[in-house]
Amino acid sequence: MMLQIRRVKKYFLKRKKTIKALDGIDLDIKENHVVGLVGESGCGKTTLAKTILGFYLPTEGKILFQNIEISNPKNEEVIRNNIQIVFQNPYSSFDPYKKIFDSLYEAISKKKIKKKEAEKLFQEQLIKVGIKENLLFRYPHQLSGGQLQRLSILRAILRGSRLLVLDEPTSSLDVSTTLKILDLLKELKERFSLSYLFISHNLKLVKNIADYVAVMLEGKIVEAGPAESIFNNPHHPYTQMLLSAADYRLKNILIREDEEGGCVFKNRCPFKKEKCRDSPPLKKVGKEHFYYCFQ
Amino acid sequence: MKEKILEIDNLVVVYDKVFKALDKINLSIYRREILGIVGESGCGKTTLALSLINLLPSSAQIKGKIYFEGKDILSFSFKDLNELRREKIGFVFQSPQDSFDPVFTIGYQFKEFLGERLKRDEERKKIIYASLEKVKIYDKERILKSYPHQLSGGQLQRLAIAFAISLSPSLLVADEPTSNLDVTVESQIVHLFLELRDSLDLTIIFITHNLDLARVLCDRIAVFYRGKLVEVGARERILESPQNPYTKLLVDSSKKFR
Repeated sequence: MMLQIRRVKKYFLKRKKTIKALDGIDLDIKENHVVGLVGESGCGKTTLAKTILGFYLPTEGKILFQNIEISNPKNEEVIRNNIQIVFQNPYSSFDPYKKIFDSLYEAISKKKIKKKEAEKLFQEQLIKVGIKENLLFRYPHQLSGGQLQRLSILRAILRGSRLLVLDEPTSSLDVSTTLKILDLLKELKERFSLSYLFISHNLKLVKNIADYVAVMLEGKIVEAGPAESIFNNPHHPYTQMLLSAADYRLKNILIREDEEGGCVFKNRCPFKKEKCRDSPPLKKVGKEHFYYCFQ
Repeated sequence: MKEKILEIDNLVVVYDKVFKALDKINLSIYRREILGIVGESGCGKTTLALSLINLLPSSAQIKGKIYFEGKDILSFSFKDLNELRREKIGFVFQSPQDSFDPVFTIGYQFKEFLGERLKRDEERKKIIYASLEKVKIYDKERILKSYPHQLSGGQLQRLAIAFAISLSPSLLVADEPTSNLDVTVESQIVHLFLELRDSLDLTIIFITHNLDLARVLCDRIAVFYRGKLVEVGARERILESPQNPYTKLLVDSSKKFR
């Protein structure tokens, strides 16, 4: 197992109110596997990404990378050497005052490679991410979103990372570029036997690339399983709603008054019953597919 | 023959005297249709939308004619343009967060928006409440008292639509109104557009880069590539048997996501 997330909680205090951004997350990422994490804005997807990368310390629980506890600040070096992130907006993930070469060079500055050699290395690497021109001495604003996103991916694999966290890597790109980036990610995964945590609210993208899918809502994973099983046989009403929205079949969501506690979906669920005020039980479909619901 | 509401005749837009953003566009829009304008980033979609209300920056040179209900809007005076923008053509932009002033409440901004036209408070209130109802915002009091940052992207986009339709325009131009929203919210907004077309007799120009969305929403689709209109036709024809190689590529790449 490459990454193990165990009972991770992350609470934020906001005006004396506790916000449960992550509320007991369990998730495993295997070697050379793509885990898709889907959910709406504000469900905690990005908080989970940041916690994995050590930007936040979990309130409770732990995260293990190849059995080393990376949620312990002492092991930060393990994170930096093995896990990298690609952000949503490529324009804000490069320093606008730096040439591409300098941004990439910063990523490997610890390796003490001379600038001349680094230039040669980068030129070879550019081809691997499908860039044929030599863009090293240009500024970010001179490049297209697709080119910059390829460069962010390149920067993420430069240090020999094993796991990439991709936080909505294509949502600011248009359709044809998105498709090319997905192809690139699949190719790199095979070539360097990488694992991905692919975060998106777009189910079609996740279907295209993921082996395993986890559906997240208000800080909890409500359903998870092998991608095929989730898409062909969704059990949780929220997953079903997401799937119908992806084909634009979803017309209206009924919203009830906010009630705390119990199932996180109960205020919008079409099948709500009295007992939904309690925590829903775990149910299994097949070996790896499970969901939390009374249904 | 259906009635033409808008006719674009040989429109050319050049930025800074060098960059041709739109090149000889001829396009008609008929009453009560939803026309999808599709193409990748930088193909001129937004330039086209902005030229419909003559809102292009001063660095742009415009040639050609745009007839809206028979009148050429490119020759309008400032006063006529203002009236056109507020009452005849509603506009919804891509990012709902940027469409509102962050330091005023929604209610204040809505009143201000209607202000020049309607002097009496009761009249304004009536229109505000009716528009909110149309976009399915039910807790009106709370929303009107809120500041933009207190509302979600979906709520703000509904509000932007409410503003746009409040003075019953005949044409609504929506520039990628759902690309910053979640799938669940996006799906609901798309259905809202369909309902509004029927209930308010609206004509809608819907700009998007998402062909799947156009498939659900639009009656006709116009495909743009590098400032040129490469293909236009009924939804089925464009999606089932595209003629232009670029349209084919677009249709193929959207199929790969299914």
